[in-house]
Amino acid sequence: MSRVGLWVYLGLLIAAVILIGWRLKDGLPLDTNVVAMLPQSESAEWVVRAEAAERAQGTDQLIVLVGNANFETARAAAQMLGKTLVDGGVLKSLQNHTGQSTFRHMSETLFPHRTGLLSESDRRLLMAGQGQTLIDRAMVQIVSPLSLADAEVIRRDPFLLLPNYLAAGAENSSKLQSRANVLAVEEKGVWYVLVRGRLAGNPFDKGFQTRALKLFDETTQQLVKAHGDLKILKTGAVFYGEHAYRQAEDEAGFIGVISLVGIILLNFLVFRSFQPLALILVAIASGITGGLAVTLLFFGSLQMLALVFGVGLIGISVDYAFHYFCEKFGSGAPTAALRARAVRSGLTLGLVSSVLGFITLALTPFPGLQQIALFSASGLTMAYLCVLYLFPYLDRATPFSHGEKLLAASMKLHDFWWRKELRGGRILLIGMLVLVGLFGATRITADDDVRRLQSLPQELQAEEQAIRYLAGVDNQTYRFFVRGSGAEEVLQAEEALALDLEALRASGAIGNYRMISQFIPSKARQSENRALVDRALMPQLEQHMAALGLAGEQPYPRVDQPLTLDQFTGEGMPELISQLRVYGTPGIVVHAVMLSGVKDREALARLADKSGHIALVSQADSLSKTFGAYRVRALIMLGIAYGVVLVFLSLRYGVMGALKVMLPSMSAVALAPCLLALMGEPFTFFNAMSLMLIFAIGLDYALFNRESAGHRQRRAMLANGLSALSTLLAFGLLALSDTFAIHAFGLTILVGITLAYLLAPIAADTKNPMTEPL
Amino acid sequence: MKRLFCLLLLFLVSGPAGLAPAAPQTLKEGEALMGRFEQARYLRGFEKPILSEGVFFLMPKSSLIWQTETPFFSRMVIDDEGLSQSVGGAEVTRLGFKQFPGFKLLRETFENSLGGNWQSLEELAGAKLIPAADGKFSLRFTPQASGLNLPFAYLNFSIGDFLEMVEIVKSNGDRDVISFSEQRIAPVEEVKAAAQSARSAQP
Repeated sequence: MSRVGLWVYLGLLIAAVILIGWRLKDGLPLDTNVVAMLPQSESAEWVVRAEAAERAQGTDQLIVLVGNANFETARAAAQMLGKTLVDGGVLKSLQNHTGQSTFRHMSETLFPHRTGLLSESDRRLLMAGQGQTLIDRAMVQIVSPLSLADAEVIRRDPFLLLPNYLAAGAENSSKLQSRANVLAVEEKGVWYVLVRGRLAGNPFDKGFQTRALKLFDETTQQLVKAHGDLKILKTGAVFYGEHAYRQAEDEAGFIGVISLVGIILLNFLVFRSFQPLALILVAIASGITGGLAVTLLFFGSLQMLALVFGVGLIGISVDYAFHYFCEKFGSGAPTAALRARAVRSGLTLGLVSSVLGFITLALTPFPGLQQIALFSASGLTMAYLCVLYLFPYLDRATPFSHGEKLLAASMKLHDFWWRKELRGGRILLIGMLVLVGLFGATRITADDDVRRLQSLPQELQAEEQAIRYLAGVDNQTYRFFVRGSGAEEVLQAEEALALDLEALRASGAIGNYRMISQFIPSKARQSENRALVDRALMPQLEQHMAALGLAGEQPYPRVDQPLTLDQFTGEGMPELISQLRVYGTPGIVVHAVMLSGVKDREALARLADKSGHIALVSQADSLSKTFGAYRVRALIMLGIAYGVVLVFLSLRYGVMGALKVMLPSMSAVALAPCLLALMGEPFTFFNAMSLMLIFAIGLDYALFNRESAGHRQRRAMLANGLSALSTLLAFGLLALSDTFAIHAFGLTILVGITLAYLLAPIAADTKNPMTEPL
Repeated sequence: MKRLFCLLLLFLVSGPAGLAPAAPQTLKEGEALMGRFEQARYLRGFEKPILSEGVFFLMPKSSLIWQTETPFFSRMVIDDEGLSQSVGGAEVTRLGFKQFPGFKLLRETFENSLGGNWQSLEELAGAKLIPAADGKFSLRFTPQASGLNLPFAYLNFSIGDFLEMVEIVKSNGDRDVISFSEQRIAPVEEVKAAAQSARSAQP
């Protein structure tokens, strides 16, 4: 049996190594996109799809402002930077056009349809019979010294319908102006020239990030050398992603090193031998290899958070090795085979309960946490196989002759729970825990704000803010999605929504809004507009032309076909329209409506509630809502996991016996959030997920207490102590992380595992010890 | 005597060149300008130019008011926010500089030329005022040559004490000629009051 186990272990290990080698030939496919680890939002399916499509549009941009007191210097440096980034394969293309050719194309496309294109205010004037106001406006604009209407426009559109339609729709919030074929802005004597482009790779791919950052840094350094005082402001997902990766790498490195050093020290202090350390490292390596291979096999890439968390796996996989080597104390198991046999029951029950816990974790829809669960479950299985089937072949040393003091010391905790004379202390401790728990429970505050998820670097945020200020770009947090079965239906829905938005704008609830129908009205609206123009303006045309000195044919020929969105494709499509045209498949078309200066979110929410075809979207809000929902769901899953384990353990211990084994773990899970609340920590989704790990690890401690009896009790208590210490070294250190999610994991586990270890001896049953191995 | 003759000769030789035309007037702090304008828009293919005339009031760094009296009354105000046009007291157009950043440059060009701030325009145009034989100056500003995207091919300024005439030529051949007269410098408050009074005079 043990030989079969060894071959299974070796076969899996070789397969894992081959798989990792194959997957890593192009570098570690590490994904630093924290949003990618989140579940899809709880919104309707069409909103989810539209959000995904919009996200894909938004994250692959790189924006840089190059500043210098001299415009030409800033321009030359910006152009050089843009060219180098394109030539170096960082940017697919530069969006350095000033929008003039697109605007010209748009004007030309709209021109034949000018009588069907009216701004909302012009429509109202015509409907109110105030056509003369539009005629006066045309006259004023024509005689203005700043008139932009040339002879051709005036002759073909003497009412200046199209220029005014375009002007009404041209809400240009940007301060950037077109100068010498670049977009630039002057601020306090410094000219800033824009470099903007679409990335040629995935901004969250580590390899691409490294290449992009290297080229960017090298080029900007060269430009500073060549041009002197240049101010470079940058923003884009690639910069944030790279920072997140670096932070994770630094933290993983730091935590991993401390964890390893701690384990090595523990090993020498306790075992006083090199062999256990070497074999423990083999168990750790097996665990990480198995975890990494299975994660790469199922997911293709590795989430940043899974990597950091995977480092923590060291703390658990080493537990099994500790239990094995603690069997070398005393004379209970003189041979390696007996040692493996002695720990098999505890290890198997511990592994099965942990894997059951991780499977429950994998049922959550968070891709990142699914990876963590898969990484941990497969890693632990490999470590389990390594300890039970490889260790006996490599462990040739004789049992330890030292360790009596350690074994005696580790029993002090056990004695505290089982010695009659310490009953008072136990009651006092339990009373205190109950009181502290109850008080803490009243202080628990849930916090699901996604903005706490990631600690964004201040420097990059400051640069982004500076770019927003200089370019005059508002941070548009809210927008509507409008759905229809086709473009015409969506445009009509937008026009209906515009009536409400106009009222909100007038009341100051919102600053402004942008929608496609402001440029391309629905066919129905165009038809209405033409009828209005025919009725209210055309009778005045002859007189108006005479006043201008215009003679000749009627300037407004009849239009047979209305303007449609399909007339704008590819390069000719204005950027705003391509941004707002979010999603389209046969049967479902979704447009976005951009909102700026939102002061009354509730008013917008009420508008969205009026129709199932309109959704108010805010990525931060929807993610926060999702976190809240899944925080509750995680707790429900935890309850389910306890139920599954209760059934499993009842097979061996009976229902009451199983409940007793689960009591330490359940108490730790219940008390940890209460103690965290007393420390001022909020209860988030990540704390809830950490409870899952406390459940699994806490069960291990209790199971080893339950499975060991007599002299083995001492060895199990020592192994539990070593396991708890190493787990705290690995996971507890995560509490130091700057990434909120990781910090929350670490701190919860620090508190929870301490409690689980302290309460674990309760699971022992000195009257009915388990004498039969599993 | 010989020395006097030499001095006289030197004066005669250098005289015409040394008699530089008087520099155009520049508005000082606290001063504003008002005057009249006549504008002719020559539109390609139109039988006759579109003529208009009226008064203007320039309050530097504050606003420019352009009030047309013929062929009909209208008023244009350009301030820090943008441009607004009204007929009979009712606003018919409002364009913000935020919407159209290019308008800001046009406003500055107008304000600098009317207010005699020629140095700024020389820098923008990359050219110097050219003295003319009649003691006046001229300046040509070609936006494209300065790397600017403005809807004009070039602007020709004729300058005496003040801006006397500007010709705005578009690339399609359209041409605006605006002549200025009766310019008067006065304290800002006085010009403001005059602008207010002109506004009240509208029918």
